[in-house]
Amino acid sequence: MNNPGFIEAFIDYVSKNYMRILTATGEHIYISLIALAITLVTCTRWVFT
Amino acid sequence: MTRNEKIAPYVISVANVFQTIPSLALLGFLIFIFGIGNDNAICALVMYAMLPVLQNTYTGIKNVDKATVQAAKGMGMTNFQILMKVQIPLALPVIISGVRVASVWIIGTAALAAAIGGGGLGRLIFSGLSLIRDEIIFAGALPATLLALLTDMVLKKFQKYTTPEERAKRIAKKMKVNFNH
Repeated sequence: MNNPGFIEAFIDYVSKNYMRILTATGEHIYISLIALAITLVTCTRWVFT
Repeated sequence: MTRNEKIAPYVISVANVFQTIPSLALLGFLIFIFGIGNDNAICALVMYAMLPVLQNTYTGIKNVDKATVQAAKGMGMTNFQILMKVQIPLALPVIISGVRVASVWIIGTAALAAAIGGGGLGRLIFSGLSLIRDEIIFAGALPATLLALLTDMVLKKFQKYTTPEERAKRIAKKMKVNFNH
């Protein structure tokens, strides 16, 4: 990460693959939201019954 | 759990056991049940996130002042009304605190989903690791970190918004406006 061209390489990668990063972020949010929703429903049932 | 206190330690112990299993080992074990993909990752994330939510919700409800609950009973409220109108509103900041911790854990651990064929930012991180290219790792790690920080910030604001003091302040402000009219 400390090599001299890291920032340039990072900007270059992001500009060429921004759709890939956005899709991955969307998938990440989707997985997290579903997991959180299931957790909340399960825990609410366990706590209040 | 709140109605039958005897089962509470057992339920929390089960959630504690899930917490002690290493995440990668749990993902590997769940492959036998759910196969490869997102289902496996979601199941593992649910198991991990259960403890803070369960613990905080139970503690929040249990720690509501007994005198307040007695006063609600004295006013003729049913058990359900006491839960909905007294216990949950008072315990809400503690409950949201648990949800906050769970959300950050889930977002952080969701990156491991890529290890068992799931999607998400972990895919970028793992491909960066295998290609030994730091910029790809960073392109995956940076959004994941920002997501976790943003979620934490939003839920922190919401937690503050639900505290009884803040609610009392809002009601007082509203009443003052009404009186002026």
